[in-house]
Amino acid sequence: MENIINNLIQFWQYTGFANCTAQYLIMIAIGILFIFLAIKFDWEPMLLIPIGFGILIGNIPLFAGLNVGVYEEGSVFNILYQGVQRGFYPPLIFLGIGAMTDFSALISNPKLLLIGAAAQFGIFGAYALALLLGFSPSEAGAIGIIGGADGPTAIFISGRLAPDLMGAIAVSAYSYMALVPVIQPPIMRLLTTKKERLIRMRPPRAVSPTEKKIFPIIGFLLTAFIVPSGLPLLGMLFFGNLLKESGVTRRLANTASGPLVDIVTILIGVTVGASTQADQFLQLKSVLIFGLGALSFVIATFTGVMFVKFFNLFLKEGNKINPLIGNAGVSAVPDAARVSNNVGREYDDKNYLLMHAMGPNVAGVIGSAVAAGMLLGFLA
Amino acid sequence: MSLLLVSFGAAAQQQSAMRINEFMLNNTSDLQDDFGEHGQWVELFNSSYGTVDISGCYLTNDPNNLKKYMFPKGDLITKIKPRQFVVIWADGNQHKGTLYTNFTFAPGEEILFVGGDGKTVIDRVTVPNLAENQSYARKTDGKGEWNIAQSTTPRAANVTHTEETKSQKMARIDPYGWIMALTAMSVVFSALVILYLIFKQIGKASIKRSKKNTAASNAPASVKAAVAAAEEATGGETYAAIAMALHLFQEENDAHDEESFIVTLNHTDRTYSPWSSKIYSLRQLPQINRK
Repeated sequence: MENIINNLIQFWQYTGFANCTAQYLIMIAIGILFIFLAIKFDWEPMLLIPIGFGILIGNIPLFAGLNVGVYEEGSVFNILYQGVQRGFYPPLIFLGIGAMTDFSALISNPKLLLIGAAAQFGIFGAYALALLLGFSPSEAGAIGIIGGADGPTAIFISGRLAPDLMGAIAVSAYSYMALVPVIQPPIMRLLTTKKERLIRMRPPRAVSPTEKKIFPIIGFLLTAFIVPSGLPLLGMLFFGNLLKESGVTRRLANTASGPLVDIVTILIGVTVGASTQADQFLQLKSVLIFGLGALSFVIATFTGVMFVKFFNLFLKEGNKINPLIGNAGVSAVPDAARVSNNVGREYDDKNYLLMHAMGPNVAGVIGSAVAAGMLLGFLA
Repeated sequence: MSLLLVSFGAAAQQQSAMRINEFMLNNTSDLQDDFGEHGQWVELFNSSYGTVDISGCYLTNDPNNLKKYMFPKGDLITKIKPRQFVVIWADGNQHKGTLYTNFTFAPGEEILFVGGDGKTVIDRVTVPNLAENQSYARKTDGKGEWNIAQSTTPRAANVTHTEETKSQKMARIDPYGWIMALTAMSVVFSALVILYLIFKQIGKASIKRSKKNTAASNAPASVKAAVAAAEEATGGETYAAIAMALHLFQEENDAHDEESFIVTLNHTDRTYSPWSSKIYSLRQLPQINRK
């Protein structure tokens, strides 16, 4: 009898209940909140459900040595987490993004590329602010990339520059991407006049299939020659796009843009969520990262919209760009473009800005990959 | 319960990644052990990126007796973290603790690290003549040639790098981030401006070619003019008009404007019954209808 009681006491010590602290409960509450937001409000459910459940997985109180936690070497979750830690999930997601993305809007009106470049100020604005708050340049670079509004890039860069902050950076990047429809519209309205919001842009010309085939090849060669450190992201992005546009690899393009990207999204979401173990995540640094992440989105939206207004000074009447598509320079595809369209239609129901906004939106993907390459080149 | 306990021992087994990395023959005033004594020591290095458990492996100075000293089992200090070091005291007094061997070594002898099977020699090195407090170490941790070390580095890398990291350099030359921001943004802009210029030219060439093809076709002049006009101003409205025309055409020529509302059930002879089909026994995935 005594043995049974001893065994039960010993077993109790192994359970999550015995090892639980308030920190774990806070993180579990955050995980449940993410799942709630995804189901109730449909906020980025493809990301928030895996991340939210990952947070639950990562915050079951464990005792060391059980070899099941995400940070315990050789455990199942640790093996899956290698894709985040060693950075091979993000390029695979970029392959899928490339295979899904239609660059026609950009090819038909290539000046929209410049808006995608302007919005990258968000990254470097947050970088400078992070330095002011006492982060090291490597950490500041990893935090700044949140302003690129690109989850895979944020994970890729933080894995190399500041692995300890990766959980907070990834969760922050994905959270703010989900909150693009909340963060951006007030800034867009604040910076534009009613007249500017009513600008109707010329419809994009039809782009020939040859141009679409040339784009990924030239785009890749040029950007990779300029920033070779961005090779994994740029290479996979443009490769995926060539699979789509070549017209002869439909099966590969379908796999890259469908099952492959879904599998990697599940793995990246759940392991990033699981990496937010309370003892690693609940720190003052994480709070600062969330604050800087929000600021980087604000700066990116601000510079994108202001750049269009500035650019319009040099464009003839009839060729002017609606500044409401300036926000789409952050690369949250296609949410940022959808925000441009929705805000535009609030002022003119027949002014469909979606396709125009897709130009800077996909340019933002290229721009953030180039900016990421620069950060790696200077800081890694 | 037993499963829980068994999982404690599930560390990765990559004993072949262990290397003899450094040793000292004549220790008079170098590293001290826990008893304050100076003895011969051997440093092992885990060259892998996973934890290696060396319990059950052997260390010896006799190629004819590979099982001379076994690393004891059940002690956590035999689990060597990735790219980390462990020092073993070779003072011939095994009773002092886990990492104390039952032998010492002398010049001309070999030190051998043997796998858990007691047969596979994973690494070996011949002991040279060494002065007092001199250590013999690999030039690069875990691989490469051996030499007499300039300074001893037990439980540490044989070569330490003291150069400034890129991040430290940036912190020194650009504490506020302005240089980084301006440099990086100029590169981002340059890359996208070049891309813009290239695709502007490609676009012009494409439009020119398209016009040329239209002009060269055998279509009547009116059709050519219409195509040219459409190409000039192809937009959402044109496509919407085309789509509407196609829809109306389909509406007029198809039988779908009025359904027959007749349902016909056909009998089919087959041994397979849908009642036993797996797909009918699975619940449909729940869907949220949002309006």
